[in-house]
Amino acid sequence: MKQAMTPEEIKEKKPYLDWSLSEAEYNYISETLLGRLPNYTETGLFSAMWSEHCSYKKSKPVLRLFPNKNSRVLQGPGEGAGVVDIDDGQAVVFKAESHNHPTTVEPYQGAATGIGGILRDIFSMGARPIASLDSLHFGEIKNDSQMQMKVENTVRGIGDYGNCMGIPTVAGETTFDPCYQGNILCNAMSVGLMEQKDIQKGTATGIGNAVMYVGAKTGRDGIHGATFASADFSDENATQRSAVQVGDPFMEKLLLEACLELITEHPDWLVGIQDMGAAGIVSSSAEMAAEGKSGMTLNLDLVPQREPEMSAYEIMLSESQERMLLCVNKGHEDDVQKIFAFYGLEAVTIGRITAGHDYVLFHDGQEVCHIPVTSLTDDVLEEESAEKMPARIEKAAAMPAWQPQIIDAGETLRQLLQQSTIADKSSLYQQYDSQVRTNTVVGPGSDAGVIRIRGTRKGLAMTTDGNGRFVYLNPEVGGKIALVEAAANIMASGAEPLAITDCLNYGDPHDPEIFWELHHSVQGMAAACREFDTPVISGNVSLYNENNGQAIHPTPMVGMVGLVKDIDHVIPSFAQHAGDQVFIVGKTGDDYAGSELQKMLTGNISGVVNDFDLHHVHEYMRRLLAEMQTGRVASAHDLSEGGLGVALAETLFKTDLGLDLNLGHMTTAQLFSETPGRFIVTVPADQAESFAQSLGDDAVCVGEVTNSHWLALRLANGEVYQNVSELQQRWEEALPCQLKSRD
Amino acid sequence: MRIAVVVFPGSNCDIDLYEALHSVCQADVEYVSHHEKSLAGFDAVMLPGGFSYGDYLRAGAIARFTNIMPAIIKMANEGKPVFGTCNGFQILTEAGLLPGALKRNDCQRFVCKTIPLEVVNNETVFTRQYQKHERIALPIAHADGSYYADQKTLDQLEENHQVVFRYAEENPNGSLHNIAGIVNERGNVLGMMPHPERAVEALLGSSDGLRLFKSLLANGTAKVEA
Repeated sequence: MKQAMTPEEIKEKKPYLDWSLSEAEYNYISETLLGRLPNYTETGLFSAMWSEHCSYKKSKPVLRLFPNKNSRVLQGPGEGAGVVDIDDGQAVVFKAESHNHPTTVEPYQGAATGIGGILRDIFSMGARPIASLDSLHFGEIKNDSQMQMKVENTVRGIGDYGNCMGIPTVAGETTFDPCYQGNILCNAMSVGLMEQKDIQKGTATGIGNAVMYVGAKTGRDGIHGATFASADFSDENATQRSAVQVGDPFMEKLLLEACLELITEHPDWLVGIQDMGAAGIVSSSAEMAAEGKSGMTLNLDLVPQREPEMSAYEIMLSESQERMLLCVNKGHEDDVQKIFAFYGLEAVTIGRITAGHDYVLFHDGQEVCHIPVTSLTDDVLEEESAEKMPARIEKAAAMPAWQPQIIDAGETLRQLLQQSTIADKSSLYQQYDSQVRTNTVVGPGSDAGVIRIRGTRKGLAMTTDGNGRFVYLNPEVGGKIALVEAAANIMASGAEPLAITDCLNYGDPHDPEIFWELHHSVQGMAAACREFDTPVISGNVSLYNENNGQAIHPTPMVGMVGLVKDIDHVIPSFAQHAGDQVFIVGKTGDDYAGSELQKMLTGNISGVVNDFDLHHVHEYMRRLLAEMQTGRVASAHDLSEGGLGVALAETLFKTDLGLDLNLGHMTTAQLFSETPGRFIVTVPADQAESFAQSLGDDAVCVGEVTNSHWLALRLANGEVYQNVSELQQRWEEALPCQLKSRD
Repeated sequence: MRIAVVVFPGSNCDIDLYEALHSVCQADVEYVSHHEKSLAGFDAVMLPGGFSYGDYLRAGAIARFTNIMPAIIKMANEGKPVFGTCNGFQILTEAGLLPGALKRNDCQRFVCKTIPLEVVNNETVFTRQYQKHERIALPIAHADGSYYADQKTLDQLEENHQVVFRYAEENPNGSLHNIAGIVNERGNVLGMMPHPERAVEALLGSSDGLRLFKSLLANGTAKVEA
């Protein structure tokens, strides 16, 4: 087939600029890497592989700040997903990935294919996905029918894909803020379980071995999805639907079963396996060849195609879903084909591993690409980035701190419970199957989801957490808070934090202020990762989250997994028995900057987020966990948005109990302060003394659980006396009501 | 009693049924692929939940044409126990082993939660260990669970005591007569939208579904007489 432009025309007309390849990069490729002008197909391959989405060329220097090893980590970043040892020869595999741009443009398919992509990353490692989580950040929904529809369709997309795959969605978070109005965030996380002996790699080695294509046919969907993800939004590209892929969860379910059968039952046939994710065939094949230090030749005429007359460029860059690339030992091609045929799937040999290090493509009988493998993967120019502290942060430091005026603390609590970010999310998560595979011990609506590992006493706790408001006001402290919040959710469930995955969602990194936000928030996260010994084992970076020049709040999402040693010691998040003593763990300060209270009362967020002593917080959290593991704790709930007041109400919802507390050491405003690292813990009366002793100054006993369904609080400067049923009704009805509101 | 759990392409609660029978009830249970043509040697067959053939065309509409289906129909006709939950129920109605059809939920959404049911008929091989009118809690997880049949069929179902489970408080999907599960006239084929196999361990929230499997297993290999 004829190339759309000659190399000389490309040099002259510079179409690569539209594909987000810079002139400097193009010149470096022509002059230094190839010593000639790249043809049209090659230029397309470079532009995709050198995009931020595939190469992390801008974020790499920052990502190096993260710790990614400890004694449990079996596989860190760089493969499909990270792998952590959970003893007994078993491993947990997890990763999170953003699908922000596709979900903004086409919420249903964007969210659905986000789930599909992350699941393939998990089973390409040889693990069976056992749970999914999400982290969704939308614009305000009140009276905005377009945003309401985006919420509905995003949730439906996640549900339809995950439900059909038979993988329970067990936890997540959903927040609302005007900064996401033009660019919503959809981050999906998947957790898998495997035997350590089955760990796979995305590698291709052995001269003459087959490169096999399995799964769905290739169409024209999602071409340049990777570069689409690496550029800003504007009204102009709101119509870029062709860059969004279409998902088929039924096909993926078959692909999952076929791949796992091949991996676990015929390990000797398989050399390597990788998902065809961003940048489709080119990224999977080039990365596998680079990993194996091999050469590779592919014949694109053999690629199963859904549409006629696709060009080499289109075949290579298509992001059609539900496809995998395998490297199979020579002679076993037919065996592999038979396994996939049982599931009604295609498995086709499209190329071979070759001697040398060249990446060669044939199409229509002609050679359309002949370049060194590593020029696509390893030679990408890292970009230096300018950075500058945003003016708003300097300004905020010079301003007096905002102090809330609370007139009626009970009324303030009622209103906070109806804020969309705090309100009950069951109308959303009930659309997800949270129980399939019958291992879900704790489902959505708690601090963390908990899955038991069948046949053992062990369990896995998991959570996703990100709060862009704190990071916006203070990237470094906000980054620490994100990690502490995740660890608090894991530990409140009775689990020990193992490791994290992340999605780093930011605006355009060419803006020095945004790069500064990225750099400093990662610094904060990395410090907290080191303190909690939770290395970053996988993740992704999503930059360019802007619409018409308006960036989102910097929103790093932390996905954490923890190990429950004895599933009988999973701690519920709600009160259990009347007469249990109530403790607040962690000190409460005047932390209102970026709080839900500030947002509700002033309509905006401002101020300085106070720093805190990471080591001290971690130290008493460990003592709290030890108490849980000895069975002394009846319930524990992490304090987050809305502070102690909201957490106390949540502790009582879905029970028929009440609380009678003396909070004379706190003001009514402090009831809603969002100081990180705090818990509300209930302890059986006969254990209260030893609990109090272990926690020392870090816990204070404030009262007890009662049989009346009332929340009764006596504070230094006021009282709260609220009927819990009424509070619960407001909390439950708020979100469904706001999702229907019209002007 | 040897029980077959049929695996269709897209079944995903097959493991839930299998483990409920194997790990919890210590029953003799085996997966059987939809490719198979025979269920010889099995005393009962169970059709799991999930999304057979991706629910494409209509939930259960394609699965009824698989190789295994004639063998399932044969077992039903022989009076052996045949059980379908969720997608399994949908397949049983599509195959004509149970009357009526399951439509899209009233709310147009997938719904996953645990809800109260009433045991209406405790005289089937599947429900003998329940009390009549007993309230139990079972999980539901479906988008197409709104039971529909014409008036004559509904009258017959009521008259013959073929309604086995009803939604007790809230009807989550718009099912007529609040129907959650029915048997055929002979009483050996049970289809239900709720998932008893997800409620067999207190650790996971409810064990109210356990007695359904225990009822069947206690019954041994006995057939239901026509």
